[in-house]
Amino acid sequence: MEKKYISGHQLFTLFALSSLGGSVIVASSPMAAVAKQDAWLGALVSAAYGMCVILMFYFIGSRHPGLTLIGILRQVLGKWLGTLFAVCYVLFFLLLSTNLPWYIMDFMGHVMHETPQYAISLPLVLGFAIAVLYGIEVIARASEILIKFVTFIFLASILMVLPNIKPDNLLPVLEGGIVPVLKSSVFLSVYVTFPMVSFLMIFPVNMEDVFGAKKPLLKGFLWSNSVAFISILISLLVLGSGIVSKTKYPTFLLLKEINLLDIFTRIEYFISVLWIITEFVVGALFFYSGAAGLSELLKLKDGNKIVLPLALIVFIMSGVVFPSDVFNMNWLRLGWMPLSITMGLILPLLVLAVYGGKKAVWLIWGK
Amino acid sequence: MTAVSLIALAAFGSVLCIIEIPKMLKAGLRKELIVFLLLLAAGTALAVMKLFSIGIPNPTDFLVWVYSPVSGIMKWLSKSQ
Repeated sequence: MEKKYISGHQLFTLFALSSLGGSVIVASSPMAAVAKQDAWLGALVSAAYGMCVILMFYFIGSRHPGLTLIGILRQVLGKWLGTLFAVCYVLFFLLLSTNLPWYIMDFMGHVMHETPQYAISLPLVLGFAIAVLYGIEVIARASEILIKFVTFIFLASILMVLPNIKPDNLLPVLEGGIVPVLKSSVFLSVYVTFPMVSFLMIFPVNMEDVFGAKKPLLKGFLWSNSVAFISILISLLVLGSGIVSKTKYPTFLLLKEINLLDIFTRIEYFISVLWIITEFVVGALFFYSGAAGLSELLKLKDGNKIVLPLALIVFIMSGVVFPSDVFNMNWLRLGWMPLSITMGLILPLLVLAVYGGKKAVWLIWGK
Repeated sequence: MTAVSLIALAAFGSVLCIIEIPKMLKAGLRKELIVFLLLLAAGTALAVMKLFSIGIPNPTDFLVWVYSPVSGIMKWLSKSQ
């Protein structure tokens, strides 16, 4: 693919939206199931160590200007091992881009019972394909506009739900000790922090000012974590941990509580607009990462040619990956969590360790 | 419904081929052509399998199997005590 550059601000908005991704509406439920009323503390813990993970991604990226994740893996780990891991990453990104339409299908299925699932995922996957065909620049510019909508919708809905809060719902603080809080922080990180390894497909290679990327990345991470934190805190305050842990889409339920002067009621679909926007951005990002990674792996000159056939596969698989709700719950616990931790934490740490080891050897023995 | 889906699938595949293949041949992108045809064949095969309700192997099943050794840790993580 030809070289295109995005600005620092675009990196910030793209990172913020895609890091928020699917988390804002689903993550609070498993967190509340583990930590009960202390789930909001888990969000703070997750932000604290997530910051270090983002700094690690930045460090890895900034040492390899002009390379993508595929190139970095090949350079650091050698040709064979690097290619093997690169294939894993490409499959991971493509798998993610099939999962995201499923969530929209599931969510919209609660509303539109009669509509076939594929009719909901078709515009979304088509959107991914068009976004990727236009290139990363256009995705970044779209995110610049969309972040304004998202911030507005989020702030407006939170402000309107504020009269319903019951501070008693947060008490007692730290009832079960600190361990459940730490455990619940993992549930947020697997959505917000670890999948952002896909930014290594964009960040050194599509940025002119590689070292200037630190601030936008951290700012974007802070933005998405504040949104996630506030939504978890407010859901707990309004609904209480019992209800939050038992519903699949707590934030959606939260906005059902809004009743301002009997005029502003039933505006819960506000939040679904926000959610569809962030899911679209993160899906486009993952699909871009998958398509760009595949075309780099196969050394294709024109990566755009394979986008539409890939989109067909993603479209079909979006209806296959999760046959049922229960299956999806099981997958989130037993498949998605370890997968996200492996891809977003363990493998980058391995890359970092090998890179540091090589540097040390080079420093001690000279060339 | 099946017939409509089949027609849509065939239309998508053939239109894509008619538009893209001459371009790729002209530009001499042979590798792209092979990958394109392979992916399109795979996608069409998956779609046909889905249409006639033939079980498609599920990647998430495979990943749950891969991570089954750590399932104890994950179950511990999702318990509140």
